Amino acid sequence: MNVPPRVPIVQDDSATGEVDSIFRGAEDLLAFVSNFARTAAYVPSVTRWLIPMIASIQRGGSDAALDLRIKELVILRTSTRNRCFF
Amino acid sequence: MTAALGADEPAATQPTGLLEVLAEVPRSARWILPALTAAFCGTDVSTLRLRTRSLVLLRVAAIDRAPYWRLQLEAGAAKLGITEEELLLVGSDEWETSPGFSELERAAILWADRVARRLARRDKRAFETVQKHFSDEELVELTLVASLGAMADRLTNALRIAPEPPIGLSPGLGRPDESLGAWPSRMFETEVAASWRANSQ
Repeated sequence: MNVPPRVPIVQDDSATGEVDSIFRGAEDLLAFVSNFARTAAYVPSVTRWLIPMIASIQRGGSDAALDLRIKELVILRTSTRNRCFF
Repeated sequence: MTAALGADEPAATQPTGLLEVLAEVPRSARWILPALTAAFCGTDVSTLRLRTRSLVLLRVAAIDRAPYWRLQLEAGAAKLGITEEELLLVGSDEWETSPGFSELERAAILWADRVARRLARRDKRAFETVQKHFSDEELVELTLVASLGAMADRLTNALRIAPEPPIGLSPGLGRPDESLGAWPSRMFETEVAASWRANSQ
């Protein structure tokens, strides 16, 4: 499962400008900066929308249409079908 | 009896177009639309050419058999110099040998093809090919474009959203600066983000 990444992830010490803003936002929203975010951060113009998009889809809350258990089951099934270990 | 069952009441109007469907989930739509716009139409800092971006999305839509996005993309193709013949080629398996596409474009289409088929993770040769033509930054953007294209295909295919006139999400027709400017520019400092935080505690 552990295969080397195709591109090196963006580390905290090289995150400046909008990438730094995205990292701080991800920490605030998700409590950590994932390797996915660190890779997508090569393209901050897309990632600035992508991180909250994923969070809004995955998370529950009073303004979510589906409950968390259903969401989790859907996410698990989709990831399994896609052989996505991340 | 019939009246009691409400048979005479007008049927509720179902959303039909993509934007109408997304309006059913405003919490996510406010991020999905700008994400798709930035990926599909590019921004002033994008490195991937619009023509390449369009070919990538056309290939993904062809693999996914997504008529909605094929129509959206084909509508803007001519403005990017994509001919009718090239549209046919990128939608078939003949693109690999066609001299109509540059080597860089063929590499981009190849990568899009592998991402759409979920083969990119293990296809070493495709990666080596694409790596010859694109920097790390470009490779990530290429992959994001193809992946978001696939996501959009899943959305319209699963919900059977019928093809409709261009909605501004085609690389040849979109106006990213204007459309993105209409969305919140400071992503985490919104009511929505505050709502997520409050609900997750």
